[in-house]
Amino acid sequence: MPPTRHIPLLHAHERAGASLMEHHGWKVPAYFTWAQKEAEQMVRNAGLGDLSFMTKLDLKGWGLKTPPAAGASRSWSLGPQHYLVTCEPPQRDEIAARLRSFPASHDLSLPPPLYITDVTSVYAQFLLAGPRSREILGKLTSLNVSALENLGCGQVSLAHVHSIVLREDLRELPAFHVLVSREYGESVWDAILHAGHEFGLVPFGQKALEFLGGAA
Amino acid sequence: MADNSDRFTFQFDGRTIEARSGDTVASALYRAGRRIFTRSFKYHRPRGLLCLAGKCPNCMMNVDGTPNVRACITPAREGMTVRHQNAYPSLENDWLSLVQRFDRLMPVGWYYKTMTHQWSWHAAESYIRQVAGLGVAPQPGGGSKDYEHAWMHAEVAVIGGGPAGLQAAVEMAHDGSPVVLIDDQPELGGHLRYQKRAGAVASALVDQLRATPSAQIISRSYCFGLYEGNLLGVVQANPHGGAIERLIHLRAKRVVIATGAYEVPFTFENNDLPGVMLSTAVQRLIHLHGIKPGERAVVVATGAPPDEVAEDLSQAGVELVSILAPSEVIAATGATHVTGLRTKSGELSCDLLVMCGQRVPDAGLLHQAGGKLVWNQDRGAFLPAELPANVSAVGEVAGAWLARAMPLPPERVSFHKRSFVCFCSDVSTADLRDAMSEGFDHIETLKRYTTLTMGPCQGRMCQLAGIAICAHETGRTMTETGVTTARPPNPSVSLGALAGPRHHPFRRTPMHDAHDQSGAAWMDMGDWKRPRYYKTASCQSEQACVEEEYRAVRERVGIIDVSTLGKLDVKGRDAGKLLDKVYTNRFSDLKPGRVRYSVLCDEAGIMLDDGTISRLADDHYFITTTTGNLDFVQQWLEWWLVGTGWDVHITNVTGGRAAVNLAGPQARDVLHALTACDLSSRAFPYMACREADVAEVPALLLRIGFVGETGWEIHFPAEYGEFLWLKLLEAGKPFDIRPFGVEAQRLLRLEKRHVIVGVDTDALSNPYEAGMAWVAKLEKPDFIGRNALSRQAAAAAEQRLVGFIMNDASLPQDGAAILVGGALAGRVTSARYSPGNGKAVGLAWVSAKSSAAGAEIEIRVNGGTARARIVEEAFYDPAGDRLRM
Ligand code: FES
Repeated sequence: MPPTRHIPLLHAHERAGASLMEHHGWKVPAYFTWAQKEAEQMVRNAGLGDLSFMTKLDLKGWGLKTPPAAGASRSWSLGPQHYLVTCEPPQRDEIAARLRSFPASHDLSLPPPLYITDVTSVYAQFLLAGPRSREILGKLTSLNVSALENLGCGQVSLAHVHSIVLREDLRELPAFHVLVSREYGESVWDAILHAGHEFGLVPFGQKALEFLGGAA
Repeated sequence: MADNSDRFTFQFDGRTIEARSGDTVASALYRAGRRIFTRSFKYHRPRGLLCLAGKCPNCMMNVDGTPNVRACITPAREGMTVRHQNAYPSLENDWLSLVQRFDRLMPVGWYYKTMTHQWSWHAAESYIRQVAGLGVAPQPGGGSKDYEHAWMHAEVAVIGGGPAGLQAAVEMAHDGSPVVLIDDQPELGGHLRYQKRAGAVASALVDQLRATPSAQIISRSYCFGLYEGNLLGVVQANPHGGAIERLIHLRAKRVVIATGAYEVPFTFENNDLPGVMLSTAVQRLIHLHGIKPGERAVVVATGAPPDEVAEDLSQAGVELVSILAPSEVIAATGATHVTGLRTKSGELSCDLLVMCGQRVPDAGLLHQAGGKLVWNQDRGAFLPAELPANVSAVGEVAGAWLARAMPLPPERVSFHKRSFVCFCSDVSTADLRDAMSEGFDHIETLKRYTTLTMGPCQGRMCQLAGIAICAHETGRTMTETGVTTARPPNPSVSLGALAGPRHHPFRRTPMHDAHDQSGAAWMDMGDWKRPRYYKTASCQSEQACVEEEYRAVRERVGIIDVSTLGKLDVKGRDAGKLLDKVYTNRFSDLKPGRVRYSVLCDEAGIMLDDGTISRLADDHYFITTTTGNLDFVQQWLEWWLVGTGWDVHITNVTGGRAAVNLAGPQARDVLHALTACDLSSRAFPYMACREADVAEVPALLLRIGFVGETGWEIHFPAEYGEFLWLKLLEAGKPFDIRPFGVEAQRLLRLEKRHVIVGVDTDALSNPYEAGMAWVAKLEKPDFIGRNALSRQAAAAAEQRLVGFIMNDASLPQDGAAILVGGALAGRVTSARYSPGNGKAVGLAWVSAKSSAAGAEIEIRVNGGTARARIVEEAFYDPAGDRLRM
């Protein structure tokens, strides 16, 4: 039986009073105070959740002239012939298999069309959601988040750390995934919470997302 | 009008001051009877409220620990602590005001005239440093409040919340375009706020703008710079309870400057006395704060009779003694406050002198953005012309409603040592005349020589007068004289606002908390937090702990967290080709399952980084870089890949992979307990790599040995970092395993003479001089740095990196000088006490002629010198047998 996976901030969340739960083999915060309160706060102001357990696949190769078709996942264009695919952990194997079945060229002189690197552990992934989330990001990064449409993405310096920002609204609620190299996770989490203090930002756990009925 | 029912208090110099809702710090202090607000920069003359608009230097105070805060635009808050600055012991009785008695000894250009020898500067420096300057910078780390940065984007940015700015913002936001309006006052409305007849117009515009959803208003904020691409630097005061200031980087497609105009004072003797105020300041006191500014007033004005001002004064209950033209005024009289006026027709008694001065467009932003300022004789102002694209000016700043209030250049100037032009630096009309007579008669040289326009007001109070006097004295016109160049920041910005929040990013390895539990003593390596050593009950000092950790590795087994290593995953059919091109070693012929060490050199053959490269499959390599060089190495690889068309894909996986180095004679036994992988040297030799499960965690094992013992570098998914670290410690318990920190690692590697690139090498080190000729594979047809390395291989080295062992018990510091025959011959790069040798050992750069094995050198230690011997081989296991066991 493989051990439970730790998200980067597990102990920091514990110290902040989070109750933990297991989620697809990962230990994650269930709630920090009370799920319903966290969800309400997110809808009213803003909430910050740790979604580092989300599967993240880095795709590169000449075959990526168009976005990869990867079923129940999201694909984000990070550059020419470079995509990031994100999905819930249970979908990982199916999506990876589907991506691997990408048809190779008949031209044998060409290299493989697609290289996949699992970067799930490379990034800490936070979800900043709520009507004040844009103002909070405005204190952390020069990215014009108002111009970032739903399902758009950008790479920026956020709280002095290179970050990938993915916009994926929770229904009507503006929401941004912030991905930073795992080792910077705690530093950036603290910086977001600090920046969001004046806007009523609170951390939320997995249960708040379930309460909203909108798993990310 | 201030609300009388809502009162609160704050502290000023230990006294409790009552304030009313709507008060600024200055208005509350004025109501409480304070008339001296600061002391001048050079002569420590008493200064009182002059503009009440944040444009002059006369009300700067220390507010809640922040120096140089303008009290007249800082809202008073319950419980705040305000202190005077630049006066000792008090504003009323400032000992340093004695300086003005010796003003003849401090003529204009005093520094240049007196500090002509080095000794004179040395003699005066400490005194000057003590008395010069204005506020005192707060102590680092003091206070719970922070500075903030923020970024905003808008279609249109309007700077200035007066009538023109409000009108522009309303019109621009009308179609739903995002508009941001920046205003430096506590309330919108500009001069309409205190010119009561137009008050209703202001309220209507403000209401209209507030009702426009796409408009955003940022009050109490000033714009200090308009940069390329319409980037505006804006500082917002007290954006919320936890912040002192917020620096906003505002990017707008269009910028509308509506900064209006401000009034400037007249020049006459003692024009700086408290009680001599601009008319707009008086109107502010009366209308915004409900304060009677004085008892008996004289109004000095040119042009149209200042009906409104006179009416305001009389309604406030101030007796209007007289209205005079500036040409009538000879001097204000009084010691610490105006008590009268000497005029051509006699003496007048008053306690308030109201100056209806020339209005000057606040065009600094337009000028610094590249706009031209052109003199307009009718309006008596330099007006903007030829503005940059997408920048426009509206209202008074563009010349609307302006009128020349006096002849410019003036027909007559009263040159006097106490007739001040620049209130910031105490530059008088006489100083300007003296400077021009010394040859500084161009407005730019006059500025630099006298510091005119260079103080906190950045020329707002003095620029026009300075230009006018320069034109008068030189016989030029205002156009010929021109304006001084405006540069950002204007107005001045606090260093705290520029520096931003105290947040400094840090990097933690996945095992950080486990190290904490084990008693790690932390050190910073770049942004990384790393255990320097571990404190245990058995060791009392850092040296004892390090030695215990050292012995564990040499005698039993030790484990170190090396997750900070940079890790790059390189895939693609041409990956080997790229590595051959960039690294000095060859990698296309490396067999899968093998590891090779190499260095990275630039075109000059200088060593930039080093690391191991493991081949995991034909088209898959795994690179480690030094802790601090990851980003550089990734960019370097990507740089050399550009344009090749090669199939290579580089992914930084540093954060995703935890890594430990398990080393020591019993490392194999520990690892064996957790993995089914055959760890024997036959199946898993030195410089091999294998992928295997360790405690059910998928891992990559590299058999390498930085510390000189049998060992494995284990790389595995970061989410198992703590789990596997603890598993390895548990499995190592029977062998008395010890976690070891960076200090022990540095000692262990030093005994092996393993070089740390960037510590033992610098920006001039090549592999030949560093004793690493074996890494340069010159037989490779081409790689970066090959030509330079070929030349270096053939040339005689100038210096060499050598090992040394001390002759006695002394321990040199890293960086210590090396002497040969009493002359400087090199420097120590690393030195540590080696328990294995019973003496300190180290690495040092030494001139080649003094670097022979066995040669004696002298090293600077504790102010004296100690002798050492150069050693060719490693200090420990020179044959490397222990690595291969
Ligand atoms: S009186 Fe405050 S800046 Fe002039």
